[in-house]
Amino acid sequence: MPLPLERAATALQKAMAKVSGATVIYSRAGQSTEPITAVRARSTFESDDEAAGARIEARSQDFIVIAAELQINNQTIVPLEGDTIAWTCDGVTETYEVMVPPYSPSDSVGVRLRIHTKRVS
Amino acid sequence: MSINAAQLRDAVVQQINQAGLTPSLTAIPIYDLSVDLESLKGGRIVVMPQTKSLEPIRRKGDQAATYTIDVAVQFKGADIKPATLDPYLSLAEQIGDLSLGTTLKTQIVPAATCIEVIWPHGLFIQKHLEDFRCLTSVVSLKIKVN
Repeated sequence: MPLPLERAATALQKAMAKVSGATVIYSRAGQSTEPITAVRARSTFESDDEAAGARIEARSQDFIVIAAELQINNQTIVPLEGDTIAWTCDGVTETYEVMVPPYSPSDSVGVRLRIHTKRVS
Repeated sequence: MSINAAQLRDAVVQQINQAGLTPSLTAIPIYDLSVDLESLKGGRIVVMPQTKSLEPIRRKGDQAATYTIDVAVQFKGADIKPATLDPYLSLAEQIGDLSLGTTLKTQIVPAATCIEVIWPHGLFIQKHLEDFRCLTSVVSLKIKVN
């Protein structure tokens, strides 16, 4: 039976999903989860100013998901660098790649994960 | 006949594009050095002039110019395994091999010789692999215009 804090974290995720949730598909090496609900969180703009002659700019995007929903072939997985998240909005699919650090806990009981990504297409 | 940095850059672009290097990417001249990670898939070669120095070769007026032209090979693939990135690191090395000791003789540049090739950031920029999971290899060509 879930602890009260775990139930609270799950309820919080559901409430946040109602406000800013998105249906996404999480993939690794050609295999994918069923569509899951993620909350689009912090979004920032990153640039590498040190590389003279070849500067890269990227949009960072965090997704918050219920850790237990991150399943491929009925196996719960944890995010790894190189995994991708596809989010489709108005018929346009944006792809985000998991970058280092791949994730961090989004609550004190490990119910929700914050996955750190950058948009790649 | 004197030339300027933009003409020399264009001659380097032409030399790379006519060399039949693999993987086959088209070199382009740029001023805006930044690129969106989203648009890096498939890779790119960009060419830009960086520095110029002059030295007198006679007391009266004649000067020899030496330019540094940077060529950057960038590639974002599905992963960062050696099998995926090796061809693009090799491409940067091919550009260096192609250039060193070669005299550019085109309609826009009468005679200019690459006298040194260096990789100023190392063979690739480690930070780009860590932060963006993409390969960036910058080759600097030191070219003396006769």
